[in-house]
Amino acid sequence: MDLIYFSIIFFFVVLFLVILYLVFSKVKQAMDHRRVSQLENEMQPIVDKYMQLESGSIISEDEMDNLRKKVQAKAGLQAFNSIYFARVKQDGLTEKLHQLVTHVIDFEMLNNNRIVRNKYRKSYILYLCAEYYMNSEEVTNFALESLDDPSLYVRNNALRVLRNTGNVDTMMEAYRRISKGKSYFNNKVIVDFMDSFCGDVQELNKALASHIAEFCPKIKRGILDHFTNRRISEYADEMLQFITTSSDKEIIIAGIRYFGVVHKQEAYPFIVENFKSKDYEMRAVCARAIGLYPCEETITLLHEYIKDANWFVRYNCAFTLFRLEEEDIFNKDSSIRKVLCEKDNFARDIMIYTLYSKGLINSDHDQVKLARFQIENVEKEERRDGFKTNHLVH
Amino acid sequence: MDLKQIILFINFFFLVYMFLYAIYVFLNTMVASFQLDDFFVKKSHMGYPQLHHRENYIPISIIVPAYNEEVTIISSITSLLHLRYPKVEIIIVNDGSKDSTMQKVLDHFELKEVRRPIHKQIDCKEIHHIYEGDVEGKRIVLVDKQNGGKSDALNTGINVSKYPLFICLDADSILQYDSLEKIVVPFLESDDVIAVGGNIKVVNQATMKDGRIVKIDTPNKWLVMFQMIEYFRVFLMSRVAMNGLNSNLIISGAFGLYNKKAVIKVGGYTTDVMGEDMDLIVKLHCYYRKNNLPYHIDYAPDAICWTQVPEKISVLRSQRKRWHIGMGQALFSHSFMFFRPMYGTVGMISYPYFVLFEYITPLLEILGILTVTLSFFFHMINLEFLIFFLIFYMVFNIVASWISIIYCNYLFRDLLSPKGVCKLLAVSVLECFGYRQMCSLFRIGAFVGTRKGKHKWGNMERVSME
Repeated sequence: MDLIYFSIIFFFVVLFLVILYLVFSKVKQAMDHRRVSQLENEMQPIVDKYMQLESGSIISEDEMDNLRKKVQAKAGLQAFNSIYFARVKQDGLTEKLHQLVTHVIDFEMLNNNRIVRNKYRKSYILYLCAEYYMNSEEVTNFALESLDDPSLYVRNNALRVLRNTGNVDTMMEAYRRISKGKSYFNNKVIVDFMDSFCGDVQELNKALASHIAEFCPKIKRGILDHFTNRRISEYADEMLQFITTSSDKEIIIAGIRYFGVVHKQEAYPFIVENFKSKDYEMRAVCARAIGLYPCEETITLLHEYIKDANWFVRYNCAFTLFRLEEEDIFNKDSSIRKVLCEKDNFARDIMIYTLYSKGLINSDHDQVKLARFQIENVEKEERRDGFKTNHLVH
Repeated sequence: MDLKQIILFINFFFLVYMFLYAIYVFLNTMVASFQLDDFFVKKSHMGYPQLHHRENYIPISIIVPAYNEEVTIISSITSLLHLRYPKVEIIIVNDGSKDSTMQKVLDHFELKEVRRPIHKQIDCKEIHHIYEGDVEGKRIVLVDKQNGGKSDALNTGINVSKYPLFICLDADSILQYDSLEKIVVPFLESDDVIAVGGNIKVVNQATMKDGRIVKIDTPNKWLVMFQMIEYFRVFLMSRVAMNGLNSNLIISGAFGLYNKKAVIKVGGYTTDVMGEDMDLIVKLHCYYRKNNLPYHIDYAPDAICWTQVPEKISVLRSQRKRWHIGMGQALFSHSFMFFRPMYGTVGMISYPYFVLFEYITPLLEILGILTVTLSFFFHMINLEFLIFFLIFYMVFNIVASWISIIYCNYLFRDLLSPKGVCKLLAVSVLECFGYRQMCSLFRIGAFVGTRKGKHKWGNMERVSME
């Protein structure tokens, strides 16, 4: 019984300490906020004055020293961050603003600042280095080393720093390190940082295309996705050569997607070959990509695969067929018409849905519109009672 | 052993039981406090908000099952159109509503009927019609189907959806404009994430404009305030602590994000249960642990969804009873997980916790109070013990509530006014005198009201927020 009494008292004490901590934190936050606001008011005129000048030389050394001194402290750095972010939001990152940052902030100073608790310091320092577009050798090395850090946040912020340096060689080194390491990077993060590289993008693309073979599958796929997003056609030959020799499914899918955006006639046989793959994902992506290569063979393939066992393949085939025959859709020889006259309900239904979603058929004029296609097999009760859905159970 | 000894033994059992519960609450609060504090510090500089290029986001299907939701359905869909997320499709599943839910949606968003074949991967009831339309660059799909309950409506939504992730959302819920980009973050942090729960907040006193919450007042109704405190306790403490062990057994049906492939693997939502949300999560845990597959079920405390809570006792009673029946069904259908090491922290910690401290607690709570009080009147225990027992029971709950309220205020600064915080702190003291016992009684109703095959939608009176 005494143990229970004692334990309960102990619980209460600890829980009340938690409450006290929260209340204290709240009060401390408010005090810090006041202090930061006060420092912001002191710094703002100096920053404004600097930004208005043709050259920074008119700002006295004392003022600059004063600014530097203030930023050394935690609250000062927070105040400067606030002013800086507001400026960037308002005018973007100007040369002048970047110049001011290089005068006021350096890596060593950030490293010594206790702005966040130790556990997150590394991540936060990298975050600020990225925000301030710091690109000294010291910062770059620190970021490169951080790519192997156990913390995902450190790794992502390190990649942001390297992206913002705008240095192609640094980025390439980063991708090599990621390829060698075992740390997790989300595909979106990899592609985003390629898409938003801050330096010479064409130079980066050239380097990525010529060194693609050196990287791990995740980076390779990221490069293909990046080229797809940006519709980069200069390196289509290299990409074709690369994907035709690859056995990685994800890379082949990314490659086919790329050639569905960037036209390269030599890639056509590769797409056709993969259209016959046993893997439904491969077939589905080919059904979408092949639309960029209109010819009789394409139509024949689409016509064949619109009867595929997989829903996604049929869906993509139907939409691609529509895209290819949009101009002469009511032509008596059109493939769409042929599909609609098919006995295969699955193919017909997906084609009819395509026509619905493209606004060619609507429920009010359903019968009239379908009559224009002279569809013979549409059951009357289907139109009267709504329609039956087809279900594929895998 | 005479009667007095038996009674004393029972009293002592209750005290030990409450003591164990107190240990849990204590550890739970401590772990959640550190984790939440960490979470928000981390969030301040993790860099995701700075990713400007949004074409690489994972597209999301939002499934909104609706049954007699004519009052809130339009504002709910409107709020979804204002979500800050690059690629979503909104699927409203009309589960045979008897009111004008469907017509309102059709008229307001001018949807057109389409003849669409469905990729049926999970069993669901017959679909009558499908309507589609593009509104503000987002695809809206309305599925009109035969009534089959919420689970069946969700399964239909999964079959109709096109994207790899889906959100299930109650038709009376309003998502905060940034909640999608926050709830998707765990999926960007690891490929093993299969589900993420969001934070549910009470919206009864909110004013909406253009699908956004513009003003929140502290409610004046006692019942709403009590529930508000309850929501703080559950969503800021319990879920966060369990999340650290990857053993959350509940993702609220009101707002959760799921990997579609994972849900299809376990056969989708079970249709003959009341707590389909909890049942799905337990199924996922069971499947992944049994097959030794890497997985993580996460919780995003900053992804906020606003929902209306009952303002009438009768509605609250049926809601709590339904929840408790649902919990019982989910737990008993997976009873083989109980204290089984092969199920890891789920089998050894969270499942036993839910059985011992969530499911049977209302029964023991009421019995405990009755037994101890009666023992006192029959002079079997002394006044000191009675007072100690009651104070222990009350104060512990009050402290847990206070921490939740203060934490909520600490983390979501603009949510509550100082006056509102003080009001809730005061109300949380009163919550222990009547409301908790009332809820326990409602939940006890579940022990006599369980019937398999019931797939009733809950009766929840809606209030328009426009």
